[in-house]
Amino acid sequence: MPLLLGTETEYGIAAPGRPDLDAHALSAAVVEACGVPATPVVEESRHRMLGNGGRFYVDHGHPEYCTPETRSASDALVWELAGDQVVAEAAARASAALGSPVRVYKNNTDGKGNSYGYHENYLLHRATGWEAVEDALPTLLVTRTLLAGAGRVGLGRASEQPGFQLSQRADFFERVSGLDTTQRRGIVNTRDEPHALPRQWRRLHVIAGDATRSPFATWLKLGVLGLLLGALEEGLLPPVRLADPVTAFATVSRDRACATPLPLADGRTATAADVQEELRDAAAGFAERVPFPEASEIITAWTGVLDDLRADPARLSDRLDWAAKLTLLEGYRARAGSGWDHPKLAQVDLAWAELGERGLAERLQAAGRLRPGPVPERVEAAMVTPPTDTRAHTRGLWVRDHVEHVIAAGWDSMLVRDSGGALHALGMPDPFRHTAAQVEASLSADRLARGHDRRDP
Amino acid sequence: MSERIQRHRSASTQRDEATTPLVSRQDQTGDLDALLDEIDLVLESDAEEYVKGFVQKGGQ
Repeated sequence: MPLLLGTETEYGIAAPGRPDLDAHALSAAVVEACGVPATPVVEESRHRMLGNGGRFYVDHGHPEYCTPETRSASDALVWELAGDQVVAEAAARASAALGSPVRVYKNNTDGKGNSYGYHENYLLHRATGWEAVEDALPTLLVTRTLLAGAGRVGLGRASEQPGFQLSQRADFFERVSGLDTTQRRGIVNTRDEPHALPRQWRRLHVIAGDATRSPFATWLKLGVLGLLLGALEEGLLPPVRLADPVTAFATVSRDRACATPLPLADGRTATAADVQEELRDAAAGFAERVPFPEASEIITAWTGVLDDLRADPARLSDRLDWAAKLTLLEGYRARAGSGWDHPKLAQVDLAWAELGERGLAERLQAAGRLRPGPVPERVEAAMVTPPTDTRAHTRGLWVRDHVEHVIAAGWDSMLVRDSGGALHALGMPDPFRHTAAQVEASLSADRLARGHDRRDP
Repeated sequence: MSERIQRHRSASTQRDEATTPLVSRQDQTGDLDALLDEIDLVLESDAEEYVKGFVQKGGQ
């Protein structure tokens, strides 16, 4: 299976001292203040496609950024970080326009009962049966919390109990599977909107993961699941299944020692780390047989994390969000001589997620305490340039260089008008076509449109 | 009757370069104190207000 993935981030947003600005108005102001090439804001629609092939819009009172389609975990990381920067800079511009600070946060709950998502999208072959995916996925996602949890101060949806847990999202999942994304959330989301030829492709829409600020953790989170889905499609996943994934999600999240045995469907028990090691072994076997981008790097990094989890989870504070956050929080707790209900701790949890110059994750990277991410030049380029190896290349090209010709832009099609006024419907149902190899970036709009018509009439 | 499944340990028992800590262990405590001090300067003085003011709409 060729890997194709992209992520969607709903950002928290706040304007201290401005009760006159509701979440929708604030989010709209941020999307309008976008400083990178984008389709224009049209009337009330705060929905914009970007020149990097991504999407920036208002969703349920949050600014949301979708990455373009990418073909590796590293590329997904770069374009996701680019989105963080697009949003942070737009918030800064909105702050200037409004005359008071607008802050944006990359997290998944306000600690008061409300949650919003970080969604991952992975292309699967339609021929891979949905039953196999639905059967395996809860075990993969729940145990992946060990690597991918962002950490959270407070237990319970409204943080009713003091404490710390690994996952921001665990408390908000009450079913194994379901379609709804805003309530009664299922660990497996059953949405089936491929934005691609449906008889060939399925887009797996994952909503149970956390937004993470450590670039290493983000990369590993995506790489591990991508690899496991690849193994699943080849029939190479082991049969290990959690007996009760919803309960296990909370158990794993609240277990800082990462040692609680979980009931398995076959009557045995295993810790989440045991399960992850079995999955890692299967992924390694898959990667020996089938080429997969960065497989070796992912498995090496994954193994290092799993080994450190067994030896001493505190070692992971240079790589994983929850571990880095926990180190800071334990430090503050010791200084205050307090339990988990000290207001400073919730403050640090929130400040961890704040984008921009006050961001704690950036501070930790600068201090050499968190593995650094891609070099700034790569991220800055990805704010305005799409990936070259997916259809995002063509979408981005139109928006960045020929936006005045763009009538409408979506994931799998665009409507453009040439300089003679004629409309062209540009279908892009195959996400692996319309790449830089097929579409020269320097062409005029008219030649681009005619070329597309010729290739895909 | 339940039993724990056998752990499959990684073939490599040696920590590779990827897992070597960035900062040596003896430096870490002092560095952490300095980091906590540094972060204190950035954090809002009223922690409760900062957290209380953060209310979000339910999203997806």
